[in-house]
Amino acid sequence: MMREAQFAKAIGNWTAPLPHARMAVYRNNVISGLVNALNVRFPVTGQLVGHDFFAAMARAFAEMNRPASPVLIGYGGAFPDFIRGFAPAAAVPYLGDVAQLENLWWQAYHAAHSDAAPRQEFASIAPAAWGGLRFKFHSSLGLMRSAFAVASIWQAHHDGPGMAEIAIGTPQSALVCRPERHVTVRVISPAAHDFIAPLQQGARLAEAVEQMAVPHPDFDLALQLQGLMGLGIITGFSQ
Amino acid sequence: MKVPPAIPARAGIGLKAEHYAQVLDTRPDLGFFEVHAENYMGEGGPPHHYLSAVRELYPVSLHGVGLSIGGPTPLDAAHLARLRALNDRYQPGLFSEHLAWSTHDTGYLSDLLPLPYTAETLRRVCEHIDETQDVMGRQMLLENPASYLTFEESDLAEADFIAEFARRTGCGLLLDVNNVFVSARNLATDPHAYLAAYPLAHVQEIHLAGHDAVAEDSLLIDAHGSPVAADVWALYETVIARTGPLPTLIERDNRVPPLADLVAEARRAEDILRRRQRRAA
Repeated sequence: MMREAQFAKAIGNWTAPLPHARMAVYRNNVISGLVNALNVRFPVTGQLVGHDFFAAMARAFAEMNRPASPVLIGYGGAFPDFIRGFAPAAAVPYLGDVAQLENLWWQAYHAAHSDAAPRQEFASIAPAAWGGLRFKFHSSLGLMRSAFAVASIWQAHHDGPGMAEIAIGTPQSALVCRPERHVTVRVISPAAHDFIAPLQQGARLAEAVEQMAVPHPDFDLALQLQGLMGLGIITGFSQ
Repeated sequence: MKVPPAIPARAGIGLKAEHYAQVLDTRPDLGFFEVHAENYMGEGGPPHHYLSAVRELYPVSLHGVGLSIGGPTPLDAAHLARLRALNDRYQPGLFSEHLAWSTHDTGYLSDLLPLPYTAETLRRVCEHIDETQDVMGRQMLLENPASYLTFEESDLAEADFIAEFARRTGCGLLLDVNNVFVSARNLATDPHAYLAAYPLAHVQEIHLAGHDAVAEDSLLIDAHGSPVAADVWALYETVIARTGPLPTLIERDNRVPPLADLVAEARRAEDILRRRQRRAA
């Protein structure tokens, strides 16, 4: 037997002593619920460090980060940054980046549906007007760059070649999207990343092209536009 | 074209992401599928795609875990609106939530936490049920908790508390037979005495699940990670003997097994439902 007020106080503070031994069940359920949610959202991160290490790391995160909402789909967005600062994980320097990629995957998985703009729509715009165009992207689109072969590491845990075949220290840029039902993770060139990122932020096409000149002098606009259109993630245009 | 929404007095299972494609490919012979509402509160993607497809083939029931009906704080209007939107979109045959709380001033606590049973908590539970039924525009069912401790403040028995809010609000009940068993063991009470006091006439759905034993404390945990225990099947038969056939869900949320294992457990429940039906005929 215990008092309601004691229970409410102790369940809100995970490091406080338990007023009753049986309260451990509830505290464990709360924490394991959050650890499970992180495990579902970050499966490759978990495979890279093993179940016990992941559970301890997730628990440390959960103790400092309570969900604000009962919709746990939204829980764990800050986990990649936490991992980057989590000293015991320092021996796996790419772990935070893999978690960031899994974050993009999760956001793409749950993103709202929208249809790609038909290719003719772009074709029908006069070339003289292209510079002023802004692109609308599918809400599933996510981009990242990493000092590690982050997309290859992720793919090695799905149906790609094994970890032994990956040069882990090769920098990679990745694009994640879900134009239709399935989420895709692609390695893209640094130029494609630097071209698409400002467009996603709402830059005009001319602005995005202009900032490519110095870092990517051999930037090929026609090729990049063709690649971008082929992804099926542009949902519209505005002037 | 959608199948009718009503949940038949048959067995169903929880719809798991692991089984989405296989369910559509193999269309197992089940009475219904149940989903956790919060797992379908994302904007789009495969969860909604598959649930829409499953809903074309089966009746679906909607089971919430985060509304905090039993808590002292006001219900979360945004969460109620999300539940309403799911209800409108998928037209579930039944909608249920828990006699528990989870909203705390430090954030959402991802568990079903217990409340004392008093005149005051009864009043606020009734208010929350009324509000939920008003917003949802339908009757809700409330599920009995798995308990690990009791409160000094409680001056009503749980079964009497449940009978009283059902009477006052007109809500229906979801009887979790595993929770009855687990609570009775943990609190050293008699599950049959609980069921004798419990208002079985209001029950519209049954939940069955596995529990874990914690050896050092002789405690049973409502873990949803194993098959339904023999003692719980026996208790379920005594319930069905009294209520007649009711929609029965096999719950499994952790260590999710192959689809066929869950379908086999559902068959076992259907055998019990059919035996009862024959006896009545």
